[in-house]
Amino acid sequence: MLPYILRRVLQMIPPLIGLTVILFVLLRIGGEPVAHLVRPEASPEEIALVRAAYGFDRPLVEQYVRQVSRIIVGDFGTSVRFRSPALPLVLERLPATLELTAAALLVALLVALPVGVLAAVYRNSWFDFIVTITTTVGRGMPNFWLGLMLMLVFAVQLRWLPASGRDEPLAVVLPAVTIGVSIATVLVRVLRTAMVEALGHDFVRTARAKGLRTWTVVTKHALRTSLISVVTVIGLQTAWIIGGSVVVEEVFAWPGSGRLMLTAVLARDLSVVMAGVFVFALFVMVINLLVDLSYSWLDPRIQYA
Amino acid sequence: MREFLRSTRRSMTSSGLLGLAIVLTVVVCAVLAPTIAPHDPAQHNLRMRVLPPMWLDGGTAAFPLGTDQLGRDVLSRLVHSARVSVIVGTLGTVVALGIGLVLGTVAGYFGGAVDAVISRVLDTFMAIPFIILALAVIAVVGPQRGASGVVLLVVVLGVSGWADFARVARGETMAARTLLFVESARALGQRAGVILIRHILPNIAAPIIVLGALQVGTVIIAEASLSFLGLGIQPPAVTWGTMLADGRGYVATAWWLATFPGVAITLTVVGSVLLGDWLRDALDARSR
Repeated sequence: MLPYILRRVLQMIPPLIGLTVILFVLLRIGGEPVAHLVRPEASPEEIALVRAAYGFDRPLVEQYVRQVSRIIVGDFGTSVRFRSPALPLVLERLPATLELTAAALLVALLVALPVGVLAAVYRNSWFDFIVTITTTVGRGMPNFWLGLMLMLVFAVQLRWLPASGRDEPLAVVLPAVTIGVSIATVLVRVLRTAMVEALGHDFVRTARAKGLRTWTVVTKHALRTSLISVVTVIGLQTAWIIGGSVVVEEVFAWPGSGRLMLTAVLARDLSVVMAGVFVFALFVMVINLLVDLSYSWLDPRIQYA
Repeated sequence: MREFLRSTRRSMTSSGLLGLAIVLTVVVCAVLAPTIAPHDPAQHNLRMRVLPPMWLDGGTAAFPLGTDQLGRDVLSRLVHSARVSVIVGTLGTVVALGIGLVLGTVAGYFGGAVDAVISRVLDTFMAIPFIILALAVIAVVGPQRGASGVVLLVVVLGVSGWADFARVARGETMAARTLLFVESARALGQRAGVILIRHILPNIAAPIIVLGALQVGTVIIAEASLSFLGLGIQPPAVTWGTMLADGRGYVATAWWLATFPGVAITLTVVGSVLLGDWLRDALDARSR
């Protein structure tokens, strides 16, 4: 197991290098940032001086290497807006984002596991039919709009839950349900398909034949093997979930890294934007690593050499 | 072609038909917006501000879905918004499909170092959330107004969304490469470009087309998200995303402003997803 983990961690290095190239290219698309650093009426000599001071006169490859060496020590530059280093700004808001993501995942599993299992066990029933329609509609629904609608009903009309912020403990409910439901629509479909297949397997028939109760067969035997596809899809969807949660954070004024990144985009605070992209991409990579590692735990037949 | 049409008719399910109907309706709205919209979408009418939909008290048949805070007709704005969604959704998908198809087939066909490099680039793009990459590009370039805003969104969403196409194209090309007639073409000394376009492309087209139909929905949602955040299409141009952004402030007083644009997005995306699902089944059935 340990050699596998090591190899898998090493495999993250090329995409990380790719990421630094993308960030470098991105910053360059906007032209040299000298314009922001000098007075509008600066003379050519002054501009040349500033260029030299920031190293913009060096070859691009050298500039890239310098940028990478700064990224390695976590230096993404200084936020123009907050006048402090960019990375810590992103990291100090990360716990709020992680809390929201974890709560959303919990909601997704609480909804998707029973619904997916029941839809598979009672397939082609009216329940299955309603589930199919609901998940199809859910696939088309932008999650920030679902958030607005939930806010309209539960915060504005019924006044059951806080509409925004993170001051009250219940404030996490609406944004977590918003993101969780959109994850669940995908998970239900996958789980239903996997369960239908698993219920047709020989080992399930054997379990039934030896007289186990239906419920035990479904949860202990069929569900266990179906969970692999659920976990795989969670891994594949991570990037999409994280992207969507940025918008949901904005809708509910949730003070996480996503919202920070949005305000940074609006203010064109590039160091914070780049630090945000880096942290989110790293987060996606780590989740995918965990997903890969969870396979052998879920299905002991899968062994890592 | 006749065979294709026949199998198409046979496998045309009710959900596929529904999807087709929705997509056609949206496209017709987009094309004929000035003709079928009852009002000018930008026409302010301060005496008719925040009218509810016609079936509620105070609503009028002149404004079937009500008016917004400036007295603009919600229905007309919805119809006009379809234009941006259709244009950005299709062109954004075409750009992504183009980039992904070229890189994916090249990686899959040549293998070796070329494949290794392209695959690492692919891994990188797969790890960056679609919307976050789009946000980063917009942060650097800045949101644009008018036609250049549409072009910017198409490019941004195309460049951020090509990874799935490349992944599928690469895998399919690797499989198609071992087909006998491809090997014979290579043995006859045909050039790689010719083999890729004449022999491999027709064989990998089906899954790419299906992915494209599904991606249109993703791109439409991404455009709506960016416009909602004020980073996509800029006013006075009207899109479902900007309508939601406007309506957001009136959630408590005028629920219809934030409701109908979302319904429009959801319907459109569901339509394209149903169409994509049907295409997948139809094309699968044909190859079986």
